[in-house]
Amino acid sequence: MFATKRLQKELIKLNEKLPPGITLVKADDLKEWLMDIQVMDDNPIYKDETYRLKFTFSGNYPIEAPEVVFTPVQTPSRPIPLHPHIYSNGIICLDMLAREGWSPVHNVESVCVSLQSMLTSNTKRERPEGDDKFVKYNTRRPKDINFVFHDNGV
Amino acid sequence: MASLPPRAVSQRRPSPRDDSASLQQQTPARTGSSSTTSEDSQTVLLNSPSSSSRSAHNTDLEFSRISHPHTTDEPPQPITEPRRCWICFSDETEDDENTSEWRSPCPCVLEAHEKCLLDWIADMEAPNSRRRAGSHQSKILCPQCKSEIRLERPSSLILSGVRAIEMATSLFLLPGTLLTVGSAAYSTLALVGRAHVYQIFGTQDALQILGPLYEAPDIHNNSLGARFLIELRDHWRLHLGLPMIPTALMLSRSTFADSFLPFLPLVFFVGNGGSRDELLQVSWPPSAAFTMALLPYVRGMYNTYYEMVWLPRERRWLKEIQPRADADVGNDINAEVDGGDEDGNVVEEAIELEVDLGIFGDWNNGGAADNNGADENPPVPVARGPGNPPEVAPVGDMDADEAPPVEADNAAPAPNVPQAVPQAQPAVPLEQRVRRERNIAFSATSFAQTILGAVVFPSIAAAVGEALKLALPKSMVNPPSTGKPTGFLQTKWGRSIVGGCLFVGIKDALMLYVRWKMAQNHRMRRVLDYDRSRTKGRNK
Repeated sequence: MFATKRLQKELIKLNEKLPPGITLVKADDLKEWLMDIQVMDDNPIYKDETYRLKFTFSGNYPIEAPEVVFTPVQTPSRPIPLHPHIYSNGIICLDMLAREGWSPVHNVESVCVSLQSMLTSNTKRERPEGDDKFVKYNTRRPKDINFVFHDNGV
Repeated sequence: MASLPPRAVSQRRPSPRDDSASLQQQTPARTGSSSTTSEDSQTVLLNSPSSSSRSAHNTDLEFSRISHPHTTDEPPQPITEPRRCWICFSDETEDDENTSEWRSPCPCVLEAHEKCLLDWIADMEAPNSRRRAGSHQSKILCPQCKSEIRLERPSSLILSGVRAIEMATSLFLLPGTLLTVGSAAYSTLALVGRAHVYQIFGTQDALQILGPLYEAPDIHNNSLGARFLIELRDHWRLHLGLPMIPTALMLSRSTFADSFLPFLPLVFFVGNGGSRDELLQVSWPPSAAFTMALLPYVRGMYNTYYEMVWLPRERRWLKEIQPRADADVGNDINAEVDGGDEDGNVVEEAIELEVDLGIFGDWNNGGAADNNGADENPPVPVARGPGNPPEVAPVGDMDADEAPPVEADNAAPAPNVPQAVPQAQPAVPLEQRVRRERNIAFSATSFAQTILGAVVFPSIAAAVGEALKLALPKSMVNPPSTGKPTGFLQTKWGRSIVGGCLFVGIKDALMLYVRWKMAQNHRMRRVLDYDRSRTKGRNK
């Protein structure tokens, strides 16, 4: 109920106007939304690519953070962006999306904008340390993972 | 103030209305039939006056409730846009009778419904498995301006008491754990040390040394603390020294304990009994304390001798058995390639053999240990040994122990670790990775080996000492029936020490022989041709 009302409001706003580089792909229900984001400047790592984000909301949204991951899509091409805080299975290590960093003042749009700027400011073409192992063995949901947020530079 | 009582009624509105409605129908009948008023009718009567004017009254209430925030909480400056709750994103215009009041808890523009704020705060303060009373420790900060959001909440003595206790217990968690683990380790070490004293000195002398431990406490002194202090004052050497025996034994297996004198704990006991002169003789045979004090020097001399004389040869022999490690080994390349498996088996066999003794391998003289095992064991088998199972040795089953001896090397800060790298052959990345993974497994095994070796070595020394007693002529090992022992080997501890030294010496000699023999055999290997004539003959 709480989540529904707020998501409806967010949806109305998203349908009205969106920041550049962010598009709403699918929001059929109030459980799972798909967004596309693009990096607007010409960072060579992300130039001419679009990435698909999947938002999953719990009934406690916005008290609880949404689960946000990149999902790969074949057509149209939506790869997982190369970034030292994004695992190759799309899981994002960002304090804003974790329990401690989240606050209800954030919303779908602000999350998208944050991810955009996280990509824009990146200069390293690499995956997080231990990406192979993590992708292979991780069975937890993103929000249950205790990321250590150490890198404030990116 | 005027609005308070009606609000209290209005909060109860949903249920009392139904109840009173049904009760009201009964009341006239009852009051009509009898003059007695039951409790039921009384409560109904109290409510009934309001029921007459209920409908009008309620609409009034609703108006007052909605207008309430406007009148009381409104900031002085006029608001152009409707307020919007930063949590549920609804704005003022959508407020209905169920919406809670608006709150503006911080200096910035964020405003929210009180209910929304409380939900959010509850989520942040939610009790978890450890703090069942929840915590109000961390401040609640506005996510935008980071100023503290203050709450007024009823205080409960019990609740805050429980919270304080939970805080305190969490503070004591770490020291408590350390204390428990530490005292457990102390007791274990003291027990092991006691066993070592028995083994090296024999029952009789050990009883003298450890005598104070068996004394009954002074029953006239009732204070537990005082008793403890007296015990500590009188026998601190024992209480400090006993746990130090196995500790020093373990430490002395690594290089960094070279500067310590591992015999120190034993000296504690020997020096303890001033009057027990048979343990403190200055003349021949030397006293136990004197002998123990000599051990580190004997050990150092032996190590130097080994390093000067035997280590270079040993290294050479080890190098020889490596696949094409050196061009001058002169092995036929083809034979080497084909013989790879055979070669591996040889190495493996040798390793098993070595491990049988390897646990004690690092030891030299009784109580003192040498560290040459680190140099003496080859770095090579790690690099190649194809079939070393990195399993942990079952404790107490030395013969079945197949753990590679090289483990100790990799864990110890031994000089051969850097050596192993250049020797790592045309090592493909895969091999390197395997090795790195093994290194991790090795450290645990080598830890177990170190401990096991330290615990078992005194027993071995004592056993070899007993064997000496049986093997040598009686006049040498039995003290004269009267008076003090006249020879070193006539005391149990003397035999134990000699036994320990002998064991280390023999073991090193055997290992050197094994290395040498392996190198010898390595040169004489050849691959057998397949015997075609036999199969042909069989076919015919």
